[in-house]
Amino acid sequence: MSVKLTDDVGAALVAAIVARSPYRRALTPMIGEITRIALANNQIRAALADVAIRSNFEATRTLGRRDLGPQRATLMSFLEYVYFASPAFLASVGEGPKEGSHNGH
Amino acid sequence: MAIEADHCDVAIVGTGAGGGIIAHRLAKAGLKVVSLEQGGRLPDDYFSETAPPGAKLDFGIGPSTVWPADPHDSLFVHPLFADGAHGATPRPADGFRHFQILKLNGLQNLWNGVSVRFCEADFAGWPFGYDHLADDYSQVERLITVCGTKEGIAELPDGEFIPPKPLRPADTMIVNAVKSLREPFSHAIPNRKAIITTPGLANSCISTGICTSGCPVGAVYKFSARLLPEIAGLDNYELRTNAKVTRVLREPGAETVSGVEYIDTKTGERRRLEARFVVLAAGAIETPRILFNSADDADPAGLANRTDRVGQGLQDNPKSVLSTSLLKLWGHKRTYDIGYGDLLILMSRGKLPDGSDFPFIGHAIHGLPDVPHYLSGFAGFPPAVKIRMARMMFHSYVTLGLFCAGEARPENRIRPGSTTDSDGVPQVTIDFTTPPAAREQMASMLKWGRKILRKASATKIYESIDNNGTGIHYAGTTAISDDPSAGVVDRDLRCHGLDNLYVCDGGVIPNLPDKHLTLSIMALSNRLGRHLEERVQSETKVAA
Repeated sequence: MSVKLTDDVGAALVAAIVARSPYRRALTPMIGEITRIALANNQIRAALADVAIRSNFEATRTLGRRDLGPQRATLMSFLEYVYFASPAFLASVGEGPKEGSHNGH
Repeated sequence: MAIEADHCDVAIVGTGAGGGIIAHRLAKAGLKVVSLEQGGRLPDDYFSETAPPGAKLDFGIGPSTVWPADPHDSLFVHPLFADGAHGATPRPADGFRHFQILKLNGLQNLWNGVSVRFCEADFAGWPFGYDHLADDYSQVERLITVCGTKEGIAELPDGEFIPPKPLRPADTMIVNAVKSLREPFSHAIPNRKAIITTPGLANSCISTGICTSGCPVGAVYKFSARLLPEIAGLDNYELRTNAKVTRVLREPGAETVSGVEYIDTKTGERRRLEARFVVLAAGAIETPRILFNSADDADPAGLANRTDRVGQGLQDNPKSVLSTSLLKLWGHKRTYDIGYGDLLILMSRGKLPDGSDFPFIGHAIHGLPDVPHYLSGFAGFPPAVKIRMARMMFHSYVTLGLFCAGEARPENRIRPGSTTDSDGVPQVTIDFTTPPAAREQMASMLKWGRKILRKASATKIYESIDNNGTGIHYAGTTAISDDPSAGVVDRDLRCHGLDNLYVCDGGVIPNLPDKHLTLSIMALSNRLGRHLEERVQSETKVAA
């Protein structure tokens, strides 16, 4: 079941889920960007809406351990993907942003 | 550009591989040409700002990105691909996956640029052979600029090349693995792509590591980046975008057509363009749709379809894809130019259970996994281990994409559908099942690919096969043949029974070989341009 998720509830929910991610230290500084991308993605937005209903998040603004339910794998995969595609991770392998170019010379 | 006309010498439907080359040639020759493109024009900075390759924008995540995803499916979620409400087909969830781009340049917006010639054997079933098209191949290669090396391989004729980008360590490992097979029919050579590798130009390749997400600088050939600027200012040339051609016009039963009808998709207005000649270059699925939708009382099954050949014999290249991490590259830092990602062409012959063999061609791809498709292979490891593995293996990934020939089967076909698109234009339905032989061929290509990767120090290999539209090399639906009962167009690409209606796209290729078809479409387009120039000259002399 999916319902309309308001942007402010969505943002608070993304922040709560990021706080449960093993990559939270790297992801937290990017929370605004992650929220925008998450809410623009069809699958992630729907998953967030399901979690919001299950946890009554709009009223409680708290997220229990079991509230992610079957959407846990999708949401955690999304955050993991963001970590490994982030500028900080890419810089750690020597691939920092260079105006879209990947010429090593 | 000329003021919008209601009459022209040549109306060209489509601005992709076929439509672009012929528009350029005929406009340069002084004919009054109108190109009709059903989509709009992308902003010049679309591939650098709106949808750049890789993870540069929004980590490479769009509205349709899904988790978990098949790493080999990542090329097929681009926002430019038309959905079922706008394209030629309704794109049913379990049907043939038809990819179409409704923008100026069509599929060439995301074209990988691979430009290889067919060889003599590939022309079996055609009314002419390789020698007949060799000069056109050369002219087109010079026009669009193709990088590559002369290799003297009979199955892959050499062309007119500029130097390619230098091979990387991963390429050298694959080359050595292929050489170690000691098979005279197995080759690993520099790729041949329509890319400007010459440094120092405004549109020189900037090494994004991937071309199939669109080129930010126009280094990969497409009509709007190279040839359109040369003719856009001519009084005798006009490009109409947002002009969706719905039907070819003629008096019922006449053997000549009078032009085309199209919808201005901005206003919804139906308009007509009269033309002395009409060239359909809309693609192997859209062109049959236009012919079906041009049915009249004299030809109720569609124009040029008296022998029920339109839409029959749809083909796409069966493909096998293998990805791995090469152990010998673990821990390596990158000190080389990543280039355009797929720097190698691979060629070999596969063996089938009945003892026969078949040719196949493909590429070795080594890009940068800034979009982390590799994560599916790390499932089950703790995050800290994943981070260490990802760093160690980052520059070690190689993918082989291998293609074999299609097979023209009458049951694999396009036919008039029961749905309409958002403009109310009838769509087509695609009937397609993978031929049994293709399954054996794909299995054989996987076997060869595994052998190569293991010799190059492969670790875990991720494999997939597909023959359901994701080759995006659609062919065979308006096949060329001198026999009207066996094809739709004659050796001049003129529709049988219609004096001035031509087709020039992948549909005219009767038997899709293993090799990528785009350069051959362009060579045919160049040849058709010459034919129309000569015909106009000859008819003008007679009239005088």
